[in-house]
Amino acid sequence: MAEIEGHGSAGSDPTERYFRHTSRKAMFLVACGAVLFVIMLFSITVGTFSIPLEDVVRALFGQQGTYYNIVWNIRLPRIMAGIVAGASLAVAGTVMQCVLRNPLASPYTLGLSQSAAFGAAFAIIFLGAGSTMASTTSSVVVNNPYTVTLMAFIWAIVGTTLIMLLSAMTRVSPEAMILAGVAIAAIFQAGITALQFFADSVQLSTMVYWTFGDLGRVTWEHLMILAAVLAPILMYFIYSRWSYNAMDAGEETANGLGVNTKRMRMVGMVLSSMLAAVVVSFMGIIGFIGLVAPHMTRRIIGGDHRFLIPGSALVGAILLMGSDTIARTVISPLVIPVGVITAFLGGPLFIYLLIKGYKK
Amino acid sequence: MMLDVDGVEFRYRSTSVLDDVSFSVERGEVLSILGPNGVGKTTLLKCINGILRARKGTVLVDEESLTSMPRPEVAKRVGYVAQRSDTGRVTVFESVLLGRKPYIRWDISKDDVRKAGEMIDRLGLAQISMKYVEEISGGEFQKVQIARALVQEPKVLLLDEPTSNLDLCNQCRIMSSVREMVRKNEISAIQTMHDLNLAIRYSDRFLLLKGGRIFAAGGVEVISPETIEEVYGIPVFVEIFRGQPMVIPA
Repeated sequence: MAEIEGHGSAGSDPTERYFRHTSRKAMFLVACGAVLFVIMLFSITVGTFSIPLEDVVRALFGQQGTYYNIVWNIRLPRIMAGIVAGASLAVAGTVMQCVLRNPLASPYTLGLSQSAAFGAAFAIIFLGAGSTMASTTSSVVVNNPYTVTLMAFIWAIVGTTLIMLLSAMTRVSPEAMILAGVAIAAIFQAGITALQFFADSVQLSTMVYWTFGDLGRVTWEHLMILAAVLAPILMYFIYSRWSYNAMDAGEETANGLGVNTKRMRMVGMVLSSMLAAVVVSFMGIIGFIGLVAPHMTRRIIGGDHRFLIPGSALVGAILLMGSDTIARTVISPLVIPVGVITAFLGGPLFIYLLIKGYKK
Repeated sequence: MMLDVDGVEFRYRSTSVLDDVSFSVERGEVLSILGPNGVGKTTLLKCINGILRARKGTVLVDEESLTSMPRPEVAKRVGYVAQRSDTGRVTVFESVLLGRKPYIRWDISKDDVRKAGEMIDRLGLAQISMKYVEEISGGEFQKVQIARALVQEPKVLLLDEPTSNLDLCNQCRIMSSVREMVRKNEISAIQTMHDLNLAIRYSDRFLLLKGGRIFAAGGVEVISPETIEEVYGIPVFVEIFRGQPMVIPA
């Protein structure tokens, strides 16, 4: 994808050039939407066995037939899960990178996904909010999604509080904050391991599987909860886009422009942790989408949050759904946990950012 | 009177940083705050626009008190160019447009874009308006920041060391364009400065701080060997060169 960048050419009016610049960004969003739709259709057709495209379209329009059940109850929930979770993680990462002034931030690199996973695992094993069973389609069944989500959120907030305290107490460098994230992740991973100690062998194997991240166990009910959490939070983030732009110019500049940066940071972190927590409770830990999607989008259309937030959401959705399509097809009929694919995708980028000096 | 600062006091934990600071600035005037490192120059600027809450004292802009005003309202009256600022991946135009933030309700209007475009033209940034700010030079970036603060249409412009990290040519250009804009728009500017000679050349009045208090205030006559030595702790000569005083360390 070509970078949208207009180097100054003399003669034409800056205002006109600015409007041209923004319309190119809007076109990027439209293009992403189109790509997402095409991948979605493709993704429905492929799997353990392929479904012809016209049958997919027929089933989507509600025509009963051989494939209706597979399309609506097996493939579509999974694909929608990829879209909603990808968008949620990407948007959470975008906002975290902005409010923490840290380009390496994301729910995963700050250890918040791991702390949410601890909360969810705790609810599943001890609060009877779920059951585990060994089968390829659904390894962990969440019986009471509300309890699981709530516990995941509470523990994600614990992780967030640790990160926030750290950044408030000292002027930590971005790297130091990520190291703290590593520590937080390690603590909660240990917590999950300790929980596994109380699980029987079947539960144990499924818990391990769960922490890799997988879209296969998501139901329409879970999707409703996901969408119900994502929609208002996304609205709030879009509403706050100008404040985030101001915060990108630095703490003091933002203050001078009338932005209450402390409040924006607090609310932004709590809401993006909530997004991460909901994703983790139904899908396990999916790493790096929250890091990769904002960086890719920022490279292409720049850091204006008016376009960056929806752009990241679309790119995150494409990345996660695309990764899951690969995960489902590469050694079909076996399904690789999607977290494995996203880690292969995001790990190298993370290292690249560290070496290159991660200029935003 | 455009800006009236009366009895401002600021403490950091139990240490007094500013004590009973009072002064005022007229329309069209540039005031330089002078003093050694750590004397509270930046703190004073931040107390004026409410980034830091003063323990005591009032700040009036056009007779309106800033102390009880919501932040966006303060931002419509006071523009602030911070010492440190981040670049981010935005273009020069977007950076300047950000100055309209205090006026934005849901989104920017055509009028906001037009105002940003005009300011870019006036400060000679049109050539680079679509470049990313991370790619432009330090002098250009400083201009962008001042353009952003001016697009806020403030009555008072606060500049924290506007010329640090700039070469000789850019120092003079930035300072003279600030002075020109202040006079043309009939606003006031307050700047903190380390370069005394640059301050003398481009300011109307001076405020010398010592130990968090005002040591001397007034026109160029307050710049004397005695006051400078007292404030900075180093003996200096003040020579007249082409009708303008020059401070030279002894």
